[in-house]
Amino acid sequence: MKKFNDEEIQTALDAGENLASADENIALYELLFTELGKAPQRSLPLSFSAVLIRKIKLAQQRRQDIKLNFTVGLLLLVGLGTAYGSLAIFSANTAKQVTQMLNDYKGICLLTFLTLMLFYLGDRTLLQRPKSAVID
Amino acid sequence: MFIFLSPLRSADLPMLEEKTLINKILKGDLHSFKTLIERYENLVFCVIRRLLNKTEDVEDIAQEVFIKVHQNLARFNFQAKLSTWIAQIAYNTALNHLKKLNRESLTFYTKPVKDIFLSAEDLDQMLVKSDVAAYLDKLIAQLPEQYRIVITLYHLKEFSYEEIETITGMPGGTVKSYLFRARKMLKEKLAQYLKNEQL
Repeated sequence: MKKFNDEEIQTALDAGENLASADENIALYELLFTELGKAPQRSLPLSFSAVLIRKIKLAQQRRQDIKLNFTVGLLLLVGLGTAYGSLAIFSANTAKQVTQMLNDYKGICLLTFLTLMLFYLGDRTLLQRPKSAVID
Repeated sequence: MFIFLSPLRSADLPMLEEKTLINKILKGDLHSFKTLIERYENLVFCVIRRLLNKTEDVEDIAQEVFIKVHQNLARFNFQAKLSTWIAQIAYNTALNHLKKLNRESLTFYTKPVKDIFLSAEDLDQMLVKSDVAAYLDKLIAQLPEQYRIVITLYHLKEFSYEEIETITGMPGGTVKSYLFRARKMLKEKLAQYLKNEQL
C-alpha cells in the first residue's frame, strides 16, 4: 500500500478527498482537521452587539451636540457682529461707547468666556463614560 | 463574562442580502448594523484572540473593529467578501495593538520562524486527557502569530488562500507554507499526546 507523505495527505484532505488507507499519519491528520474546524469554546458576551450599538448612538449624539453648540456659537457671533455693525452705521457715538466699555471690561469678558469654556470642557471630560462600557 | 459557543461556520451572507444590509446601515439604520455585528462577531473574536493569545483586551479591540467597520462601510466596494474585509480590519487592528504592546515593529510574515518549541508536557497536567480540542487550542497558542492566524482563518473560518493573502498581506506561497508547517507540527504533537494517553 502506498505510503503518503505529509504534503500529499494535507493536500488531499484540503481537497476533501478520501485517502482509503490504514496509515496512522492519515488518521492523525483527519483528527487534526476535524478538531481545527471546531469553534472556540469562548466568545464575546451576549450583550456585545447591544453595548456597541449603545456606544455608537452615544457617539452620534455627542457629534450632534457639538454641531449644535458650534452652530449656536456661530449664530451668536454673527448676531453680535451684525448688531455692532448696524450700531456703527446708524449711531457711531453709541458704537464708540460700546467699544470703550468693552475695552474697559475686557478682562471680565475674557474671564467669563474662559470660565464658560472650562465648564463645557470639564463637563465633556469628567462626565465621559469609561472606555469599555461592557456589561458583564 | 464569556459564554460557551455553539458551533459555527462561515456566517457569510449572499451578496444581494449583504448589499441590502449595507445600504440600510449607510442610511443610518443601527438595527441593521446590530445584525451585521451578530453575524461577524465570532469571526472578529477568533482573529483577535488567536493573534493576541489572551482574552483580556479582546472585547475592547472587537469594539474598536466594529466601530471602524461602521465608520468605513461606505468605502467597502464589494470587490471582496464582506467577511474578508471585516477580517482584514480585525487583523490590522489586533496587529496594531500587538505593536503597541511590544513597542517594536513586528515584521510578521518576513520574520523567520525558527526554533519553535511546543511544550506538551506541562499541558498534559492542565488538561483532561480526552479533550483533544482544548489540548490543540493550547498547542496553537504556542505557535508563532503568523501560524496561528493562518490556521484560524483557513480552518475555522474557511477562507481561501487568496482571501487569507488579502487579509494578512502575506504572499500566497507563505500562507501555504505556514499552514503546512503549522499542521505538521500540530500533527506530531497530537501523535505524541495520543501515544501518552494510551500508555
